Amino acid sequence: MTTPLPPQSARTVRFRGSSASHRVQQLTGAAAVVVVALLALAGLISALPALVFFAVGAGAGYSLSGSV
Amino acid sequence: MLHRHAGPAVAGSYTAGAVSGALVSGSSLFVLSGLLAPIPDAARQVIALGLVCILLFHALGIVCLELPQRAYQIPRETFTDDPPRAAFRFAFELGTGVRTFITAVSPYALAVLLLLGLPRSLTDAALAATAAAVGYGLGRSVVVASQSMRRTVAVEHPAQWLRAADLLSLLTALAALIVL
Repeated sequence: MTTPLPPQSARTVRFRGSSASHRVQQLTGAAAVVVVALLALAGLISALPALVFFAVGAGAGYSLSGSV
Repeated sequence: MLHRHAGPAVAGSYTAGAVSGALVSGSSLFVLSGLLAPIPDAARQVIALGLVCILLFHALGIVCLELPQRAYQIPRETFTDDPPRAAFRFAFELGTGVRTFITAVSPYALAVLLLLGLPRSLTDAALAATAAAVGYGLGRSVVVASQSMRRTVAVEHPAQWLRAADLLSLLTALAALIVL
């Protein structure tokens, strides 16, 4: 004898927390900002203008990348 | 543009286009900065610092300015080519920074930095301008490049990180004008 499966309407699937896509976006965004900050700090400490200019450019570019 | 998933070819073309466009604008600002070279260093620094401070106040909402931008959207005809070519063309126009809307404040600070804050030595100035342009192009491509590594399509990045990057760039530009 087989037990009957529960009706579909009785089964509920719940997703908790933020979605994987949202988490990855948050992580990518945070990583981009941290990388820019580290580059800027390294450039300012070591007095390397090219590195500081790269950091300013990267940050400016990333700040616009939301409007693809 | 990104309603479909961007493959590596499209993402690569997009990045190359954004960097190329940024290099065109960076070169123009580099040449213009040469024309401003007769202005004494101290005066250039004061003007640049003043402008970046005003931009920072604008970004923080202390003052409200109408910053110059082109109120124009890149036409649909750009996307009629095959995807990698269309991505290059679209990103090139975005990379120049003068073809469409500017939704952040730090690109203006970058322009001020390139016009008035480049190092005095020609080699150092050229290197700094190139680095800024390459950085801008790469930063502009982060969203598309990160999507090409994932299966799902997610066009938007969190607004708080975009704003953090905007403020960080403004502060870095300010620090560069003071320290370097």
